[in-house]
Order: sequence, then C-alpha cells, then structure tokens
Amino acid sequence: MGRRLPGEEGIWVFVLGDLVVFTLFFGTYLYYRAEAPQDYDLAQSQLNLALGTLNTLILLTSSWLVAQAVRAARSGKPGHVKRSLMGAIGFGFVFCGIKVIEYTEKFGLGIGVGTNDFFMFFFMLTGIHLVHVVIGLIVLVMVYRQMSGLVPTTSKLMWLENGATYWHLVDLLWIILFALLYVLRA
Amino acid sequence: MKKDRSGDLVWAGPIFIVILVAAFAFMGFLPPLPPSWGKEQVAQYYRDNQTQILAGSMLVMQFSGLMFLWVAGVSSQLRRIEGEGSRALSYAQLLFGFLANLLFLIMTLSWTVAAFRADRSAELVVMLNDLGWLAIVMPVLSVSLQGFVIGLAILSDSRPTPLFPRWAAYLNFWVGVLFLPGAVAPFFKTGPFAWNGFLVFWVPIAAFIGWVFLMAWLVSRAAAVPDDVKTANQ
Repeated sequence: MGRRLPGEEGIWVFVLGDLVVFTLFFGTYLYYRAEAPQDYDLAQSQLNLALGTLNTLILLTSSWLVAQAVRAARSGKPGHVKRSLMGAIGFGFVFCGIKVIEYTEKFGLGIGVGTNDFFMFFFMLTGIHLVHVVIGLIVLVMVYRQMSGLVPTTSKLMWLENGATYWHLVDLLWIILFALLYVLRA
Repeated sequence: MKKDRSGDLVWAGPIFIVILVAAFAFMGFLPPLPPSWGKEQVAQYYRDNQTQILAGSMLVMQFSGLMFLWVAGVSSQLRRIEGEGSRALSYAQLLFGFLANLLFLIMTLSWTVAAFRADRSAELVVMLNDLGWLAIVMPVLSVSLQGFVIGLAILSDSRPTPLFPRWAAYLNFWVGVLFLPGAVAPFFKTGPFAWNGFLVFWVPIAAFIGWVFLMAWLVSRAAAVPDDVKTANQ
C-alpha cells in the first residue's frame, strides 16, 4: 500500500479551504500594508516581540506533542498517547493565556482595533486565529476523551489524525501570522 | 413509499439567491453603499433611487420565504441521518436557518422605511440604512453554527453508504468559518472589515451563494436515495 494521507480525505478539504481563506487574509493585509509601509512599520514596533516569539515556540511544542501522540497511537502505546495529548492541550491553553495578556497590555496602552490599520489587522487576524486555536482545543479534548481503550481502534486513530492535522494547520497559520505581523519590515 | 419532496423543495433556495442578487444589483447595492458616506450623501442616494430601493426590497422581502423551503429540505435529510434517535441537529439547523432568514426581513424593512419617506431628515435615513446593512452582515455566528451543525450531522451518518459524502461535512465547517469576519463590521467604516469590505461582504456573500447551491444539489441527491433498510440506522 502506498503512502496515505493522515486522517480522512474530508479533513483536507477543510485544511485547503482554510488555507485559501487565510491566503485571502494575508493578501489583503499585504495589499493595504504596501500602501503605507512606514505607518505599518511604526505601529508594528509597538508589538511585544518577546511574547510573540514565546507563543510561536509554545505552539510549535504543542504541535510536536500532537505528532508524538499520533506516532505513539500507531505503535499502540495508549498511555503515551494520552500524556502527549494532555501536554499539547496544556500548551494550547498557555498560548491562549499569553494572547490574552498581550491583548490586555495593548488595551492598557489605549491601543485597540480602531487605533490604526495595522492594529485593525493585528487584532482581526490574531483574533480569528485564536478562534481556530479554541476550536482546535475543543477537538483535542474530544479526541483525548476517546482515547480510553487500551489499543486505539482504526476510527479512533482516524479522529486523532484528523485532530492532529487541524492542529498542525493552526500552528502553520500562526507561524505565517507571526512572520507577517511581528517580523516583516517594509 | 411516498416520494421525498425535499429534493425538489430545496431548489427554492437557489431561486431566492438569483432574486437576491438581481435585487441588490437593481438597487445599486453591488458594491454596497460605503459605511464611510456622510448622511447627506446617503439621503441623496435614497432620494435619487427611491423606486429602485423600494422595488428591490419588496422583491427580497416577499421571496425570502423561499429560503425556508431550502432549510426544511436540509433538515429533513438531517432527520433521516439522525433516525429515530435524538433530533437535536435537525432541529438546530431549522432554528438557525429560521433566524438567518429573518435577517432578510429586517434588512429589507429598514431600507423600505428609509426609502418610503426619503425626503425626511438625512439623519433618520442614514440610521435606517445602517440598520439594514448591519442586520445582514453582522449576525454571522448563528449561520456559522448552522454550517457546523450540518457538518456534524453528516459525520454522524452510520449508513454503509452515507446520505451525504463526508467531504461535504468539512466543506460546511469551512463555510462556517468564512462567515465569521462579519461579526466585527460595526467597528469599521473603511477597509476589508467594514460592511462593504472584502472579508465582511464579498467573501461571506460568495460563500453563502455557493453553499446554498451546493447544499441544494447534495440534498436533492440524498433525497433520491430510498430509505429501504431501517436497520441501516442502527
């Protein structure tokens, strides 16, 4: 048997669809950014790069743990699966917590969605991504609760792979967002 | 066995979409009136296009009921999936669909009242214009949940050959996500997140149109599958 896609085919419909949506978001952002690059650079310097970098590392770790869970499930180690999943979920919550701290810090400085175009995109794009993180956490918790048996069945493995695929998408989107919002200079 | 009518009724949805798009074009609302316009400019537009706005709003208002047939068609297939057990998902789809269609009523009523006495104070015209636009682009979460509920139901189908293809479930999840940016419309008067913006108007409206047509096609295909084996649900 040749290499198969992880999860079921349907989840890849969602993944590709969501990538199209975010490509639209990124394209819109870059289009507006190109109109006034100096303004964007100036606003961007008000971001907390340390928190952004920390969150990137946290989400990468979480993604790695989900990959470990899938590997453990394929080799039939249910205890390992649950531990890795629990770790991935924990890091996901930490990501949300740091995001809230970052937003609160900005609101404290009087910066909101209406401050300027850069912060409109910052809050909108990271906010929509945060919704994806929350959905991903719900999915991972549901998958975790399914992993009760000793040996994962084919359908449980499929759900784990679906969840993992989605979680990697959330991670990938964050890395692009991080590059575009925190790092990119005109 | 009686013929399943939902496969025919569901095409009322696409018919409404054609009327909706035609009416928007007729009213000059494609592209939408910019939220950045001043009150005098908006009032002038309503005075200059009074007949078109009244007629377009009337068409959409009267025919929005067609969408209920689409919603009913979708729910009747979801009910077949749910079988004799819980009907929570098919009921939820009905209610979300019901709410979404009320928005067409609120939108057209606002625009009708605005155009009815377009020579009144510009402040009142601009308020009713705002009300209509925000009513249609902003309450997106229940439409997103409608997509998620349809997706969940499709995934829960345990028939050997499911009524809907499983990719349709993920497509519904995706469409649900596409609608979401509309929620932030009141925060902006310009840019991609304003009510005439790319991500709040154009992407969701394109997704909505595609979704109504696709679900009509999928429902009419599912309705053609006879419900011969009762045990298939168990």
